[in-house]
Amino acid sequence: MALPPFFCGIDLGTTNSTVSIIRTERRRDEPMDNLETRPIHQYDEDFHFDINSKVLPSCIYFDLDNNRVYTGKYAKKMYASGDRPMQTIRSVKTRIGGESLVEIPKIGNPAEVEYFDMVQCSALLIKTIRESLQKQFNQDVEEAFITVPAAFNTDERQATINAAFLSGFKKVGILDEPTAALLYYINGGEGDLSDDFMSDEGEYKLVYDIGGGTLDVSIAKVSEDDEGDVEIDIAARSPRMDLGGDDFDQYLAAYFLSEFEKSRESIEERSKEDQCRIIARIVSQAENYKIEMNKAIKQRLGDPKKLKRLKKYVNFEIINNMYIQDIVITKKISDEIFSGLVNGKILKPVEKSLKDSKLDKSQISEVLITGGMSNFYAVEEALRRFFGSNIRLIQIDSVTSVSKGAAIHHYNNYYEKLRKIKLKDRMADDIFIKVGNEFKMFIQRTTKPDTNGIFKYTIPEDGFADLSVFLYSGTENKPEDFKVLDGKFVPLNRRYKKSETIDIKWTLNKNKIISIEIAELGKKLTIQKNQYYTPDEIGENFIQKLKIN
Amino acid sequence: MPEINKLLIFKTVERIGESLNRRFEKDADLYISNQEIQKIKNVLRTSNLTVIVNWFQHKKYSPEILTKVILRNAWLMKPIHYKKMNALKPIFESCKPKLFLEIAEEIIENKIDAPFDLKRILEPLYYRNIPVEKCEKILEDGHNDFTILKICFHRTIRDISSSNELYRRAKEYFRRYPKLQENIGAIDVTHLEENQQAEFVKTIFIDEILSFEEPQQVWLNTFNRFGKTAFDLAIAYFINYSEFKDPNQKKIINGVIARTVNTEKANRDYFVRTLVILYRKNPVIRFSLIFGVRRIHDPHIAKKLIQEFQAIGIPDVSVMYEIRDEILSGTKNELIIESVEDIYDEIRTNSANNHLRYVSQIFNQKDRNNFRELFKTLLSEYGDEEIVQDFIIEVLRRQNSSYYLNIALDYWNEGQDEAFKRKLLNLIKARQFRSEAVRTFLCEHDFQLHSKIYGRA
Repeated sequence: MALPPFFCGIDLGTTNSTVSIIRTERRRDEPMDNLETRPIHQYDEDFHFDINSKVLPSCIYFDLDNNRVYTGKYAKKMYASGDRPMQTIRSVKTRIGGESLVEIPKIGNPAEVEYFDMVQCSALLIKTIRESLQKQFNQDVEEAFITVPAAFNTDERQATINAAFLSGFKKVGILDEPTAALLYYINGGEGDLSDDFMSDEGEYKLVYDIGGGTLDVSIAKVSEDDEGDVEIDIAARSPRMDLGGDDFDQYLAAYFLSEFEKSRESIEERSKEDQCRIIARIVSQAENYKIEMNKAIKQRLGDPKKLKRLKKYVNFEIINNMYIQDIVITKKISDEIFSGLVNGKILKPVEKSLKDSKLDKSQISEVLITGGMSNFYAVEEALRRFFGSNIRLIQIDSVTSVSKGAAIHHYNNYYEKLRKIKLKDRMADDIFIKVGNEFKMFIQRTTKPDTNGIFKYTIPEDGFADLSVFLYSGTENKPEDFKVLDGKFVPLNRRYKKSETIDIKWTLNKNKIISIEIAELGKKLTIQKNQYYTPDEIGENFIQKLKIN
Repeated sequence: MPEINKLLIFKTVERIGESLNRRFEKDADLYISNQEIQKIKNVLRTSNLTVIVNWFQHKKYSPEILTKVILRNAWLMKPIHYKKMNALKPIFESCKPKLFLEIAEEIIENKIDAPFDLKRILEPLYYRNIPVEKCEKILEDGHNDFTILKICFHRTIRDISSSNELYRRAKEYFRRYPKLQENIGAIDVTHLEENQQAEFVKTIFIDEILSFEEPQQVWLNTFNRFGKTAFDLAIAYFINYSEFKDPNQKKIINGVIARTVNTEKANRDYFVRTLVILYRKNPVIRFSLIFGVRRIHDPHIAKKLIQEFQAIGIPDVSVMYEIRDEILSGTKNELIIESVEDIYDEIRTNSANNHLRYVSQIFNQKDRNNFRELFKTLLSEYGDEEIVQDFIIEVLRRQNSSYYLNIALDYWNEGQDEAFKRKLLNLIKARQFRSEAVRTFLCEHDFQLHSKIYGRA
């Protein structure tokens, strides 16, 4: 097996993205010593080319007039300024996997527009990362593991893979974010593990992953096997919840805006464009103040007197010499502002997961907190209040642990040195074929690779001109939830009457690619996951015309 | 410490959320959550398309996002009646063309197992929007579906700016696809510059109307669309004219002059004046002109012309007087068809001299309910006679409707007449009718043609 130049993990976040690699020169090199988060090249806020930043804000600014795209800090600044509302986007991740599109007009000629779907937008971010690595190491980077929220469905996962292919990766794997964080943790990424991290019988760990836009919670039964690897059995997983740092920013921004409007004027008197610009700036500033305030609160947590005295004055220009001036935030005010989120929302998925797993919170041995918002004081306090002081809350590096875990996972695919996670795999999907209006079981999900079989296709009615051999994957016979794999129409060579059968011979190979042979029609097909782009489609995709950063 | 008004904060958060969406403006239109996609997918599976149409009409979703979700998930849909499926058409039509092309392509290229009728609805919209080069390529390579060829023909023609080139290409396409010539009505040349239009109409007149062969309807129709210009060209042909036995004479007067008078009401006074002058100046064509008046639909104009001609002098031949009297008295002989026997008599009378087309035209003009009944009765009473079968085929050709063809197929199924089957097959082949009855008929009797029309492989 040819080795990649290094092992690569990408945390494609709603708000920020990072990339980590393991680069070992020799076999005996310790992988964890060589695990590092790498810079992602981008223009900074002042439009200087920045080759040191390890975080890529997941923002995109399209300058289609010059066939150019900016990702990262400069794009974020453009977004926050509100000056290019039609050319800037963010929070792509919360929309991936669906059918959403963005219409991007040229700046000089707004009538000329291009449409981008979320796969393309994500591909631009991943491409930024890939090209950065290529520049840094002066070699092609073709493989990576990309992390996704555990609650991502098949479409969302598939769309993420497609985005990676579109960005130029040739071999891509997907890993759940909580699993990645856990992997980093169990390999000692955050220092020594506690002795009682795992017992032979297994313990229930709750992974609380709160990022910029998504929150998901998993409860896993974790145990250690004889080889020292970790076995994880997912007991419950919260449904997808679009809640994260962005919501906290907006609550704080709402406070700033309402205070401003109390003392000055309502911005609703102004044009829509101005209102949008003002709000974009307030939200952007709110993010900065949220970070500052969190830092200040956390520094004073052990000292109630100092904490009580903590005051932050908020001052910034919202538009053309109009300022938000001397709005005060204290810990108490901050608590009040965020109470709508803290009391009502951020614990819901925890309660739901506990209920689904039929566990009591006292049965949870540890809570691992990860994600961009995991070190936010209000999140920690809420979890602490909920679980009490007997259950350990463990912070896992919020910025890089996920991409590092993904890099470890990539490494584990080639070497045995590091501890692995043996996920009790969720069942793969069944494969269905559409016969007339019905979806019939074609290959059961329990089928092992390197197997073949025959499906008897029964002609459902007279008058068929061709056989539609399209395959779908899903776990129950509920077509609305199916995912299209691939397929073709195969011409019939004679008139087939209703109820006549045609044998379709299938083979499932090691890579789960299905080959089909219909001997009596002289046809052979190969069916693999649909929506993987062909090399031509990748080459011809509009994003390849765009220079990134 | 200022008092925190949580309700105010919550309301302001909502305002901020709206604004953040609005800043993308179109983005908000093109955004759809996964939960909403699921909702649409559920509706697609149940085929309750009116729900989707309602969403579109009440602007719950933009046509772009609806088109995308519907087409990407078209494999979920069950085949439903074309008319029901057609309810989705306004959504697709409202979708921005550039986006529509991208989305529809997967169905057009059979990458999604969509219902056949959905594809039929999409195809015309798709081919109307593709780059003209693709249309040219389709005309070059051919296409199973005649509608597509027709659309591509119009698209290609509309893109040509030179009259000579336009004429050459149209002729070439007609040569390659004779069915186009029979079906497209007229060529639209309104996009040509004025001087090119003038040149084009002259070319048609010389190369088509005055050719040795009977001009094709498409050229006559195209020529007549030029109205006064076409009329003047035709009139100019008769200036200093002395050919008594010129075959073009009748052709021009009936096919061009009378038709122009019928269609172009605005210039009728001018037409009458000019025709009277021509009648006075050129006795050689007086017979043809009087015959031609019979072709004029408006009885006042016809009467006026005959009166003017009479003032100059009617040729002393009995048939000329008969026509004069007929027009002046307004008792033009009309075919009256009230029963199957009437139509059968007409068929018998006219089949010998190949006038079935004329009879079928009269037949088609009957009121719809009566016509349907007559059609069915004619088949059941006289359908085994060859002349009636020929007549039925002629009617079907003119009607161009699957409804009547289905009746004919039902009749055929009862008796299974081999000769009639061949005629029906030829007609279907030429016109590519589509219906369930046709599908079953073809599957059984011409699987190759069936695959050509209904296959997607």
